[in-house]
Amino acid sequence: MPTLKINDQEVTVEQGTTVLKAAAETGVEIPTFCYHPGLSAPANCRMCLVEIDGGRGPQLMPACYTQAGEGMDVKTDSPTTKDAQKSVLEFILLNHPVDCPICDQAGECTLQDHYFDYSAQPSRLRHTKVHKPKVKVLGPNIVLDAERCILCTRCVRFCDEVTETHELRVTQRGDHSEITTFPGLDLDNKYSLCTADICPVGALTSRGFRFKARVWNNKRTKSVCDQCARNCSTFVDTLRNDVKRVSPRTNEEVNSWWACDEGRTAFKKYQEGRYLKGVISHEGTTNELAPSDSYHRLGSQLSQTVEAHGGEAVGILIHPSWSNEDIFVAAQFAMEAGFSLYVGGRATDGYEDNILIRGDKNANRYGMNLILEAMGVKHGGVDSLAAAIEAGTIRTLLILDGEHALPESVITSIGQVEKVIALAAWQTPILDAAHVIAPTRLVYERGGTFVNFEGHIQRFHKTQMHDVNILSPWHALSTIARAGGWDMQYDRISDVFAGMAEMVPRFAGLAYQELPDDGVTTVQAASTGAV
Amino acid sequence: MTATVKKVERVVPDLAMKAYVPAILEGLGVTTRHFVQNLGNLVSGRKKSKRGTEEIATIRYPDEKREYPPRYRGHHRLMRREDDQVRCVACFMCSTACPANCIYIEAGEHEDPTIEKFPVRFDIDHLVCIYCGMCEEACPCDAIRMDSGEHTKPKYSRTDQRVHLVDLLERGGPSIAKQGGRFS
Ligand code: SF4
Ligand code: SF4
Ligand code: SF4
Ligand code: SF4
Ligand code: FES
Repeated sequence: MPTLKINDQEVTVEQGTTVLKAAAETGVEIPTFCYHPGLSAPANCRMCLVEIDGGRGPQLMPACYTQAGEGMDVKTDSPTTKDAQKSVLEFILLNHPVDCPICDQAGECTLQDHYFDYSAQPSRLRHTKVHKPKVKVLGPNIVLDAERCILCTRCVRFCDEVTETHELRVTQRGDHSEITTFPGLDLDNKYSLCTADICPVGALTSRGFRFKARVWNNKRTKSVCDQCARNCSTFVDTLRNDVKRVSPRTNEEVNSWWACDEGRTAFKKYQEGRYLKGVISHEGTTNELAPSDSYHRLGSQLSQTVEAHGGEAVGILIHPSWSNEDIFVAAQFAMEAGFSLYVGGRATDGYEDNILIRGDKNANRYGMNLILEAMGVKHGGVDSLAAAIEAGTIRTLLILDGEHALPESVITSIGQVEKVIALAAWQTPILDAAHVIAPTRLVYERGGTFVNFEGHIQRFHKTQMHDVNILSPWHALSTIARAGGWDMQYDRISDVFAGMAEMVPRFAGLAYQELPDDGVTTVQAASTGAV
Repeated sequence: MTATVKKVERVVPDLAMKAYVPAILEGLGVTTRHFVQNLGNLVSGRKKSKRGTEEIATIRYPDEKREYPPRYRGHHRLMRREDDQVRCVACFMCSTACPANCIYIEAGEHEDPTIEKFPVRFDIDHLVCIYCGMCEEACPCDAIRMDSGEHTKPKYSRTDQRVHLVDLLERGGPSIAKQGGRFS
């Protein structure tokens, strides 16, 4: 446990801690480029040089790599350190194009920030700069501007150490060095967009986000990815009600610093065919309906069926990617009215790895199982739904969310159901069979909680809003229930959560407003077996 | 501080003022004198008096228009490169600087890798614009200027006051300033 001095402030740290981390513990920030907490430290950029006296007189040493030693005297604001920082920046900026006006990184660029904080001097270069390729496509998601690259090798190390796909290398030497892919290889791995995040400058940028927005105009919201059972913490950037970009939010217990490309680009599939109005189809003609009217339609349809044929004649297909609150309200509704409950969901593509991606493409199966089990709701899968349709016991089918992978048997027999009604945010082929569709919010437009496959519960937030009359699923369901004459009084998500915490023992003690945005809370350990 | 008060003597109207007809006649007299004088100057073509002042203070608008001073901030225009393409690189500096938030830009990817970024849409809402000139000031490319010497004309609808890329480029001429400004 060495004790060292950082700017005359004593601090004791674990053996093996770097000076950079020791300084961070005392609240002193040392600028870095190549250092990333999730990668090895090659100490190649030299931005973190600080004056360290380890007993042999003061020397400049890289803080990201040097281990804290007993009695070290570190000076991060001495003239020598400041001069080193200024000189390193001058070197890095020597051939830099400084085309910030057309650089997507501008506004969140480490080089810009460090320049203003540690250098702020004009270029002294009197020769032409070295030119390199400006728009070099490296893979399906990533484009490189070799001139802007500062050769920190973060991207190379990411592909070597995290994905272990080894696509990138530095070629050439000196100021002609350039990042490139190995011949015949594309930067095409399942996490390639992370290289654009960790690139401290605008060298690697996302092709999907390229030129779509300037980052300072975006509104950033803390969210959670709903595309697989991992539930990566994310930031969702929106501009004028449109999602522009989804990027990982550091959460060491869930996703560390990363997120997969598929989850991050999923928002694009929801942009087409969005339901902003209710749809009612009758004998080949379709009409639009105000959202609130469509909820009433659904409510009266359900109560009619129940009156005529009893509760079991209504099938309700829930989605394991819906939030706990949505599923809880759906389950409570089904119990109260005696509906038959079926669980659908997205199909797996069979891929799973031990970085992040889970085979189960549904965000909240764990949470859903907790709720259904605790409430004792009988439920079946899509196969039993097919059997029930075949047997003709289902008169009205309420499909919740259109993104279900249904077996052929359901798709062919769905026409036999008298009335197919749906609550969905966007158009999918299975909704072609629906007679009435009521709109609801996408995951980006609502708040809620998910429980991931390890039992971590995370809260996500509302980012954007097209129309406030379109309700979140839980709210829409309780409106539908009320319209059908059932007693459901949920108007606030925190009330739903409180009701759920009362009923589901493993949510006991949690409160919606108190769930932290960062880090995780784990739902209480199961008393009996696995879920 | 004590307030300083200046007393103004009230004009006590006499009988002639109270009757006000003589004052009206006096005013008509002044108008008629100027009318006759101007008519004479117009017919004889005399523009300046002996002292060099303008004889006729008015101009024949709209046949004749007054020149605005060179620093007048008028209708925006977007400048062109040497090959006539738009200079603007869609950096959003102008729209970021704009205090009225009236510039709407959509950027596109240019096929020429040396240009990279250019505006596919560039709208300015002239009903919202306050003609402050911040946009011109912020532009790193000498792409947007307000030196057209034209004021914004009245139009029949609000949407017509939203000027688009095409109008802005039509007014723009070539600029040979170094793209990227003095820091490149
Ligand atoms: S990488 Fe940073 S400094 Fe370089 S052009 Fe882009 S924003 Fe500017
Ligand atoms: S492309 Fe970016 S991350 Fe890769 S070496 Fe260059 S600056 Fe670093
Ligand atoms: S003149 Fe001022 S208000 Fe008008 S567009 Fe430019 S910056 Fe905006
Ligand atoms: S500041 Fe100039 S270059 Fe940038 S978007 Fe505006 S007009 Fe175009
Ligand atoms: S951050 Fe330490 S050398 Fe790059």
